[in-house]
Amino acid sequence: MKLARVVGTVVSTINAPDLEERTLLLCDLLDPAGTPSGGYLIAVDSVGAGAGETVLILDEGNSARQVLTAPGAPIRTVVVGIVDAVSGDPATRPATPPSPGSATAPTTPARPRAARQPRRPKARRRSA
Amino acid sequence: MQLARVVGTVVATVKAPGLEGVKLLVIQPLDRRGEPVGSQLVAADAVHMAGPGELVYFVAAREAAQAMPDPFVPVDHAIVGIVDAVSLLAGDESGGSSRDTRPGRRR
Repeated sequence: MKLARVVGTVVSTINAPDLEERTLLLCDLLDPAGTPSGGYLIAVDSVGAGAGETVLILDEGNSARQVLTAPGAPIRTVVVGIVDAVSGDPATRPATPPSPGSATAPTTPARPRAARQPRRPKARRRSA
Repeated sequence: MQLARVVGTVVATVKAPGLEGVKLLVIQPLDRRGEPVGSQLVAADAVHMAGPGELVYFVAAREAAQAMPDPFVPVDHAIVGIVDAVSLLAGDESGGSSRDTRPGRRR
């Protein structure tokens, strides 16, 4: 399986019968560091992935047809998962994309609030 | 599956059994921005409606033959759809928004 990032969709009305009413996602392939490696694939969605998400792509026909329960379909590439996190060597960990609507963990700890200055006592006006 | 542009047709009278009536088109694979990438290849037209100049997507390997009426044909690239539109996520190279969302900014 491959790691990829959804970057768009492909709209098609004239297609093979097995591709009717299937969502086609345009996915940039990622290298182990999480940056686009230059290649891309058009994959059939099976999990409801959206644009900007890091996904898991299956690029093998027999498994793809099994996942989609479509025995004879001319489909080889399927999005089979949405990646939450990848652990391992931080140097080779894919960068978490800024997915809209989901709260992303801050990469740096929140800056502590600056200590409040002690209130200066008001100068009392003395009436002569 | 990948995007491609149909750039020509192939006519062959002597073909392997099973390829009779199969339309063969020359396609140029494209990257996702529509620029040609790699060398041209011959693909079977599984939608029967693709023609020169059209933007299509094709499937490679064994699954190409699955797109044909008889799935046991010697076909390794098949056009399985004609592209109406490719919509790319706007600014997919950029990071998050640069809008300042800090609440209650003090003057």
